[in-house]
Formats: sequence, structure tokens, C-alpha cells
Amino acid sequence: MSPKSYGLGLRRDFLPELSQRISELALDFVEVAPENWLHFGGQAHRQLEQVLCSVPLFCHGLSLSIAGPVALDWQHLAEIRRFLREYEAVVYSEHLAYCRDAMGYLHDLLPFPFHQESLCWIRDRVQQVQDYLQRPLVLENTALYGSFAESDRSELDFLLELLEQSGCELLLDLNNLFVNSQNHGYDPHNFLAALPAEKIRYYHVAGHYQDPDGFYIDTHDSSVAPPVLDLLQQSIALIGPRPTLLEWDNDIPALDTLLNELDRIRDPIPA
Amino acid sequence: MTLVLQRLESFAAALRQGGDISGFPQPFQALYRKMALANFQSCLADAFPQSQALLEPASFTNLIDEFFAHGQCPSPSFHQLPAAFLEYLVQNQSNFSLPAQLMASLHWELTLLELSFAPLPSPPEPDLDPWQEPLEISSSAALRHYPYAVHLLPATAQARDCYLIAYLDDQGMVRFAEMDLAEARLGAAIAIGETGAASYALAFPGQEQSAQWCRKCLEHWLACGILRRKNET
Repeated sequence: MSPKSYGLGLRRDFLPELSQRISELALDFVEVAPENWLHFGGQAHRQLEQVLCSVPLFCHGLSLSIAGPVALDWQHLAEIRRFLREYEAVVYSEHLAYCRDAMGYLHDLLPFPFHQESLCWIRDRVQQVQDYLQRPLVLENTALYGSFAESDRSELDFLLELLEQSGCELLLDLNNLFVNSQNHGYDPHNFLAALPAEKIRYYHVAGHYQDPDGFYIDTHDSSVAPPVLDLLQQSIALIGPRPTLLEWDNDIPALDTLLNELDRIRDPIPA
Repeated sequence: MTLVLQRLESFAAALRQGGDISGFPQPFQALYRKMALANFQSCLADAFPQSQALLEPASFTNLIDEFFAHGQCPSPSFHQLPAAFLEYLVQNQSNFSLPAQLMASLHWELTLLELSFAPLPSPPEPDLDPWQEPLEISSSAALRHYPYAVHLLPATAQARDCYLIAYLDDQGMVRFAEMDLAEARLGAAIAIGETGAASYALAFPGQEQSAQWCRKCLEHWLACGILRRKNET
């Protein structure tokens, strides 16, 4: 796949139309959360297969809980592996977060402290997953709100150590980078400059919301903000072009609006 | 369990139950709790619109809060959350003051939801003789019996036996119809997995319905994808 590829997070809201029009669209790939398609039949499943006849699939999981306190869910991983093989997924990415405790899945992405103990815990789990799936795990820098008092290193330092020690790759979510940089008060350009280019597999962009209290929330419910588009251009300049995906998961507009947004990301108007 | 794992468990438990998390800024604790609860609430409101209407808005929200705090979600798939919610309420209904129709209504809505992502039915086999062949209810169909007309709620809430058949059509639309008692008896007999003739004999030992009526019913259900040849994969 060309590094100058542009894709769309696939949602059921526009899937019927997308499946009808896919062969005529300037779309290079689609991304789905495999958890949302496991054990799924019906018309939506048929439409997904129509789409995948035309474009490659990226899988972006939600429930691995790589940083979590509970043992990895091997039954779930077996289903993921089957899904990746069945649909010849190009990438399997997940979130650097946790979403499961002893009571089960919370279906949300929770933070963890940045220190040596959590680094070792996560590194070992990443390696187990990679060994099982026989492919690099691609982890996303997750939106983080607040931080643990016991953290002894920055998000960036933690990420660099994890990339180095585990062999995983990075899905660089530029909206999360912007949101975190604003909420935690760091310079996103320094963050970008420190990343190892060879470890960056692809980019995510999305919309965000600024809370009345001033902090930013990764909402995926609006167009991509100019500072995030700027970060994309800087990433391309510093790291190089990579497949770039538009996430729009809430208040989803018409497919044509999404495609126009993708055009805007592909060919930004110079400042 | 190591310190970090205890910390993560405590963090999740405090989010579920609304407790304070030491060493983590309070406004962000509240934000995480709000976001997690909003996920549950939007999923369950979408899954159970009719059941939600049987309750005061705050009561439905309270049930979800309780489920979030004390219930279990064993599946990594978000679309399994409604089933986990219903399971939690079944196990704990004595703890809540619920309208009499609520559990039946939730079960019915879950049936329709789960059918919406069932595999599409196979096209009917033109040479299949339902009278001679062993039959079964398709995995894209469900027969249900409720003590309320759950498909008419909340407009009609009186207690009565209600037999329903729901199925996925060949276009992926979920359809349903109320059955009369004779159809319900035939459907229950077919669920055992015998031939149409054997099911007829089982359902109507006194020949309370004609064989011709039964054949027409079976043919209609086959055409709709409600029935299939037994052991079809």
C-alpha cells in the first residue's frame, strides 16, 4: 500500500451507500473495529464484504486492554486472529490503554501510570500478543485526561521505551497528540520530532471538542481542526507520508461530507 | 497482584462505583466516569427504546448506573452489552421496583436486536417437502411466548398470552408477527426437530387443525426463511 493513502473509519451509518459506491470513490482503505463485526451476519456483513472487494482493511481494536490488570483474553485474541486472516487485514492496531477489570469490559479507554512497573507489564503483554498473532502490534497514543501522581516519566518517554523494548509500532493519532499536548501542557512538535520514523505505521486524524472548563476531549464528532491538520503536515515532513485515516464516529454526517473532509485532509489549503 | 495492577483495579472500581481515586485529579475522574457511563447509556437506550419508555427517564438511567457499578460485561464486543444488561436485571430484579412488563419487553427487544445481526437466511430449497423432511427453526428466526403483548407496548399493557414469531428476511430486515395459538403449537412442535408430518401429529393429536392448514403454514414459514431443513449449516 502506498504511504500516500487515505482511508475512512467505516461505520454502519453510511455502510449501505458506501458498499454501493465503493468502486467509484477515491478511497484507499477502510478501518473497522473487529469487535464490532465478530459473530455478525445480516445485511451489514454482506455490505462489508462488498466494500472489502474494492479496498484493503485496517483493523483497529477496542478491547485488547493491553495495559489492563486482568490476564489477556485469549479467546478474544483467537477471534481477532481469525478475523484478521479471513479479511486479510493489512494492520491490526489497538489502544495503549485498558478497558477491562475483574468485573469485565468497561468499553472505555482508561489511563495507567507511566513508570517502570507498568512498562514491564505492558511490554511483556505486547510481546505475547505479537507472538500469537505473528505480526507487530500497532499501538495508538490514546487521549489521556489527568495523570497518576506516581507516574515518573512523560507519555513520550514511556512511549519511546515501549516502542524500543517491545517491538511494537505506533499508530500516531494526531488528534490525540493535540488534545494531550493542550491538556498536559507540552509542545506537540517536540513530541513529533522525538518519534522514530521507522516505527510509525499510520496516522489518525479526527475532530475534538473543547470543554467549557478549557480542556480538550477527543470526540470524533466534527471536522478535523486546523491545528491537527498542521500536525499532519508536520508529521509528513518529519516522519514521512503514511496511510492516513479519518475517524468520525459520533454525529456522523452524510458520506459525501466525509469524503469532502478526506479531500481536505489529502490536499490541505496552504496557510 | 502487583501494586500497579491493584491500582488499575482500584481505578476501574472507583469509576464504576463513583468513589474517589487518590492521586488522580478529581475533575478527570469525573470525566472518565461520565464518558464511560455515556457509552453504556447510549448503547442501552438505542437497544431498548420501548422498554425505556416504560420507565421514568431517571429510573432507566439509575438501572444503567447500577449495572455499570455492579454488573458484568463478559464480552469484548460492545453489541453484546444489551444482553449483559438484561442478564444483570434478571439476576437482580428483586432489588428494583420495576414495571411488570419490563423484563418481557427487554427480552423481546433483545430478540429483535440479536436477529438484526444474525446470518441472513439461506434461500428456500425448491424441492424441500416440509411434510417429509426433518425441519428446524432457522438461526435467523425466533419463536417467543410472553405474558404481555410486548410488541404493542407501551400502548397496550394488559397481561395476556402472546405468541410471536420474529425473523430476518432475505434483505436483512427484521420482521415479526403475532401467532395464534394453533401456529404457536405447531411452531413449538417443530422446534423439537421432526418432520412436518410428525410435528403436526405432536401439535394436534386430536387433529384440531387440518393437515392442509398445517402444510400451508409450513410452506409459508419456509418461504420466509423461518424454517429450514434440519442440520443445515
